[in-house]
Amino acid sequence: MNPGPPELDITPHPLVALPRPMKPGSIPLPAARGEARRSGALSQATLHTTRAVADAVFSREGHAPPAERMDWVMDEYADLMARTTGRGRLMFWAATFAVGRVAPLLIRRFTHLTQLDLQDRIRALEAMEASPLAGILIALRAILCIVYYEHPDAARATGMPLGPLVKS
Amino acid sequence: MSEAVSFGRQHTGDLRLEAEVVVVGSGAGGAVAAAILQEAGHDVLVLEEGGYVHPDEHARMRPSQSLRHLWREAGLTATLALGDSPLINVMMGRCVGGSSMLTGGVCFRIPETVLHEWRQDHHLHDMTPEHLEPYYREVEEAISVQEVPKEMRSRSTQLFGLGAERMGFKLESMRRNTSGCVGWSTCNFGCPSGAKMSVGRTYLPRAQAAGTRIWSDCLVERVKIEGDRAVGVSGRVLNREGGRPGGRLTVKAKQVILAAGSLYTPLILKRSGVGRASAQVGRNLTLHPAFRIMARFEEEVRGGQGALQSAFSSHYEPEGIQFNSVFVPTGVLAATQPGVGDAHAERAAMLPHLAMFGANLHDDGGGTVHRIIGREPVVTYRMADKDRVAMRRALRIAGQTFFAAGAKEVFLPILGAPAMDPDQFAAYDLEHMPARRLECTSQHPLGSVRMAATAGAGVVDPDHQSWEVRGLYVSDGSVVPTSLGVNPQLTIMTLATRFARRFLGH
Repeated sequence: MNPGPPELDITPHPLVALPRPMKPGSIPLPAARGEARRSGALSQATLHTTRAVADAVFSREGHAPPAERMDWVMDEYADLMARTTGRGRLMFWAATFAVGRVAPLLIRRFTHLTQLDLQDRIRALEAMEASPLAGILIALRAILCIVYYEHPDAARATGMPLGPLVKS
Repeated sequence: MSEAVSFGRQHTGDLRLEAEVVVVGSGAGGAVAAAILQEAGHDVLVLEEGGYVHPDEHARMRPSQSLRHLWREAGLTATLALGDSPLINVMMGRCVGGSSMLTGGVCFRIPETVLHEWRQDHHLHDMTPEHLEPYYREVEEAISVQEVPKEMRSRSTQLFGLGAERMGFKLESMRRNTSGCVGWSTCNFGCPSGAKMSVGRTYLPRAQAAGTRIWSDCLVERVKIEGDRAVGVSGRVLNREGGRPGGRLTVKAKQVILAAGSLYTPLILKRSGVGRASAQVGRNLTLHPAFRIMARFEEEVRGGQGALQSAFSSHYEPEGIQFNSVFVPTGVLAATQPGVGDAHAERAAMLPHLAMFGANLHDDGGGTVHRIIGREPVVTYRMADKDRVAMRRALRIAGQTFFAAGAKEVFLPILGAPAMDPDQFAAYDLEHMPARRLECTSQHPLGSVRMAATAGAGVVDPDHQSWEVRGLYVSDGSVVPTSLGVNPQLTIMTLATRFARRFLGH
């Protein structure tokens, strides 16, 4: 198991700047602590395929991102999916299923996406993005991006400036 | 505020409550009504399906955590497209405070052209600026509506403004409900400086201070009706493992106010058998289909620094188009970028150079909320011909505006469309682009339980009371008779104030 999400260091602690300080002990943290509202989960097979997609999408120079980072991303992704509704999960299960089965066919490989090496996975996904089925891959990649770029190392790599416009 | 919130998920077994007035939903419509009625001496109970997250705790969340814990369906709600229509991602809150917790804070009064339409076509004769003025003022003071200073505009907005001037139109400053905004540009996912005056910081604490009880994690399924009167509501407490429905929820009340929003209020009414006579419940849904156009500049734009929303242009409103400034967090921005592997990384490295501007359409009521199976509604949307024309026109204008400001390439929200330089953009056949290829969102579902002057034309009367059931009221965006063309938060709160004051006989 992973040690849990790393603390993001990309912003100063927001409460430092709060004009109305939070009262200690006044905030129950059920939703933020994750013990409630997980109404279901994607299967391990679906998550395995998603990981194969994520490794390819975020790879650089032929290498997947560090395993530690991708473990964290997948935990976060699984948690997000567990907190949507059944139909939300169904939509993403279907998208993942389609990407896993169809993308390899577009480069004439008759196997599952997870069976391809990284280079072929990239080619297969590029082919899918150029096909009429692009929307399916884009939806999956969109959610993965939202989570992936929350990892401090990934966020830093984009070079996006951080923090508010007005510095106190 | 948190001390007085009761947590349904911590309650064991069934839950039976009694109140003079029960309000279903704690967002912009429900919170305002609850506060005003409680302060006037009524015993008010607010039921919220979502959980409770204090605004300060929300401020510490990452965007994906906000999606998980405060957004309905983790932000994945989508319409079913009918005909040549886009699939629209509809974003709503599911938490104490509702969508008010997730807005960019933009506050527009109802345009006079819209009020005129309400008076002329819908016979709502007192919908005049003069009649609404005191209600506007009351809300604007309560939530600290103020103009966004020009110096709070992000560089992204400034660049679009520069292009606009060169194109012959101007940006105007928006008004927002903020106090002390320092420009984190993350309003939709929590305000780190606590500056956004959502109902979680304004009306709900007021209601609680006056004695309102608020229960989170309470899913209302039906209005209980005896004869022609509402006598309470029933549903389930979300107190099983994982927040699943558990104990039965039964509330006895003399007055019932539904404020569950444009997708869920009609669902409750349909389950309760209300609206069969008029067949209007769930129809006439408008969404303000919205999309973002991005552009890459040579300079570093730093679009995420500044007020998330600060300026707008209604220059093209006669064509049904409003341009609004907007930006998104890094991950969401990256999500809009094409490519796999090195191609994606190359695009991600350009993020600091991207500017963005939004457009939304003043649409016709092409949406319908259906009750099929399960607890979630199914929403269909058929885009009107005139809205398809407006969509293409908005994309063309926005692209030209960014190029006029010196953009090197633009990214249109069209599935499969490549980044385009000025020549490629000029040659791109936008005018025949199918609407189903548009990447589209909506934050403004309205009108599915609309107010009407006669029983057959709508679901509630001008006092927000059901035409069929006495003691049953609606106070949310679903009563808005037509699309507004502008962000509806202030309208919803103003109509809720008008409703509550009239309810009290003022």
